[in-house]
Amino acid sequence: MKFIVLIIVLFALPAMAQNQFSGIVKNQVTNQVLVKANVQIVETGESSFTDEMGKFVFKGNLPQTIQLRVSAMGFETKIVGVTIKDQNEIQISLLEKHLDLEEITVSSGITVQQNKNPFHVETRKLSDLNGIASINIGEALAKIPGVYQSSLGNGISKPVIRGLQGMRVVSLLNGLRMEGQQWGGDHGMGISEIGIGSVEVIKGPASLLYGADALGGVLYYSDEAYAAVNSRALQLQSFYQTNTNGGAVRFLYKESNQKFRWILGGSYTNHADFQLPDKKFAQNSRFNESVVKAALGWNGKNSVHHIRYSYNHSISGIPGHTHDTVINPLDFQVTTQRRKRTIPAQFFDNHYLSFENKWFAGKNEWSLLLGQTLNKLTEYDEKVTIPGIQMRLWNSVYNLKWSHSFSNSLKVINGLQGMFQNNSNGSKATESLIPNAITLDNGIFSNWIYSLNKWNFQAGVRYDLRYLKTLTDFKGKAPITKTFASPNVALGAVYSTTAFTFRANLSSGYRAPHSTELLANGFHHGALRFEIGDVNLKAEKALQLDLTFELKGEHIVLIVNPFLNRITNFIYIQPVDSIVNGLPVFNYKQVDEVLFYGSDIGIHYHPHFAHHLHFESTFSWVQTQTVTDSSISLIPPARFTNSIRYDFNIGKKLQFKDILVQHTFMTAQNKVAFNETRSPSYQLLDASLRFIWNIKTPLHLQIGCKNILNSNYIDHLSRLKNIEMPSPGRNFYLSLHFFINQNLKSK
Amino acid sequence: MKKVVLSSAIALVTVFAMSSCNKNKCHECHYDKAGAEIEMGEFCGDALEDLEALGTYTDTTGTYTVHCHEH
Repeated sequence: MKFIVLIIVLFALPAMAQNQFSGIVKNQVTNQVLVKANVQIVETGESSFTDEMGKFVFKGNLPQTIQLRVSAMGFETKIVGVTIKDQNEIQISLLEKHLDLEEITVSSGITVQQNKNPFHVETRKLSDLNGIASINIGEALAKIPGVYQSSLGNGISKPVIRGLQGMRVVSLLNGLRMEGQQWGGDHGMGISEIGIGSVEVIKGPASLLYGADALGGVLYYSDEAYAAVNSRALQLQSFYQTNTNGGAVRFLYKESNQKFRWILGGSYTNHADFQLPDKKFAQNSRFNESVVKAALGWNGKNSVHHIRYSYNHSISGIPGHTHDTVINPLDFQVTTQRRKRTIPAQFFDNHYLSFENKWFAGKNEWSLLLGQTLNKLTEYDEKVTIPGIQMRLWNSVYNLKWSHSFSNSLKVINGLQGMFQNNSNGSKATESLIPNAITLDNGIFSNWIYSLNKWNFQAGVRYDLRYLKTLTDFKGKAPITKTFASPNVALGAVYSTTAFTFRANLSSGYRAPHSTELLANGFHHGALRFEIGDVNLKAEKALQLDLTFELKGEHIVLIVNPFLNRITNFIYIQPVDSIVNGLPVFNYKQVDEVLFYGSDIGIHYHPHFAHHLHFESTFSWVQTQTVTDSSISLIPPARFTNSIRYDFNIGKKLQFKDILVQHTFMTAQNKVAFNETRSPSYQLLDASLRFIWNIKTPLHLQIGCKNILNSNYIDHLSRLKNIEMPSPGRNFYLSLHFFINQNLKSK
Repeated sequence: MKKVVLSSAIALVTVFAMSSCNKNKCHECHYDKAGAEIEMGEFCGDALEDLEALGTYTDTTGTYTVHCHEH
């Protein structure tokens, strides 16, 4: 503890030199000042709102060269580079826009508007994804083109990007890599919506910055911005839904002064068994989750520092438990909805601690992120006091980057990155799925970014080394030591005008096999199967070509994003014709080559004759091709989504804000692996109404209904498909959200 | 800064409260005999743990697997 305090003091000491920097934000066409425009310093995370005169001010320790992210309702978001020494008062003009889809991305290592990023990144605010409320963050993510969820009831949801999931999808929380036994299809993500501002999705092995093993893609979660300087903000939210007779309460407190800014949040979620379309209930699909989150940020002289911590504790029931030798799926559909904890159940504890530092010196920027995560996963299967499995995964992470701007058009980011993982099994557990093992990963990369007129280029190279050592005998197999290494490259170019964007990139990736794939030999109750690994598996290698065509008009945006991802030595799990103690046996195997190909298409239309109307449609499609064509399971079917939103904004005291209707059509999945069952098509209709009750503290109210048609369906990626458990039926919900903002006395 | 320390302390207490174990929980236990569930009553703490570690119940007619959770 003394060491942490000492580090904080050391970094805070230089916070003595003061700068002042101000500006004004105007409408580019009318030259009128914009009130309540948000101005954020990208490098430090500090933000401010413009006053009645359109002015904003920042005081304190600021880097000499900064980027301002300026946004206002109904205007395009803009990134403006400023050298404070030269200009201590600037004027920023924003262009009025009906559609602002040029989101700002941070996950590519540079803060850039999406149309200038050579790699396609889907950026979404979490509030936008919750236009129709989601029960968990996985369900919210599944509204992004190309992203699906693989769920085990409501409590466990995992992201699937372009047909790939588990260890092939890397998740980061503010740059900290989240490791949570994601090799298991039934192991949750360990992240809650609380305090998350936005998520960026990089599809395929396109990012060299976060490890080469993200063959499916990267999910980059960013916290909500701190409160504006010299202000405090409190958010209170409650959510209730009829289907699970459950809901959530959340709070988030933010305060910022000239020196420090901090966030504290917490949430509690509790849901009983979900209701099926035929009014029965999915036995033991109940879950609850508690989350605590805190962040502290401060500036030094030409530096910025953040300490972030979050803790997530959840208990999820596992449906489908029986002692009968012949399974009758209807036995798991019961007439009584229950909430009381029973077994089998999974207990997850996830701790994420990170210390992020950035130093600025002229055209150089150094950043160092140190992180520690702990994932505890305990599963009680047959006994309430003796766990079936119990695993602790400690992960120590470092991420060191140096970026240098040679000129306004040429920049390089060099870095070292690594993590040390230690997995251990609890001594009380009756089973162990993976051996006690350590892994050490180290990577080195160099990424070059170059701009030329309307072109932006990026080229990078990366080399990774993984060392894996199992520490004990495991189910009759002697300890193993293995080393995997591979170079990787990423090349990208984007050409962008106001009306058209074309983007092309080619990138490679590699993923070393996990110890479960090498050494598994036992029951995996959560996955309802007996798994057998293969110690001779080789590392997977991927090469992806990704293209994007965007047409942009004043009222319409069309995006077409085809891709081809070739993976060699692809590791998969295949059922064999054998049963052990009532569970089917699966072997880990490897196929020489798999092609994943498909396209994501999106269109956003905002007709000129009806300014309050928005049409948005997306289409996601992925296919696989192998020599055998029977090895790749859990490939999502094609998905069409159509949504219509009408902004009413009528009423004063009780303002009717908008109505949103969303239709989803999932096609049938008939291309299945050996022993995998087909899935028929289904349709879902959801709707929501949003109101603002303008009392002293405005109350945002959302009411809605999901699965209005009470469709009886089983999603192809549902882990409950093997017990023929349908997805939830009709579900009404109510969400209340208070936003309280208050200015602090300026010192 | 006082608020930061105070809030952090509250958060830490909450974390430890949430992660504390429930060693004294009680459960109804039963064993299956001839297709019927035979109730054994409520077991708590060490008694529950001992029963589950043993895993079986033996009477004059045979040995049966014990369960301390609902089916």
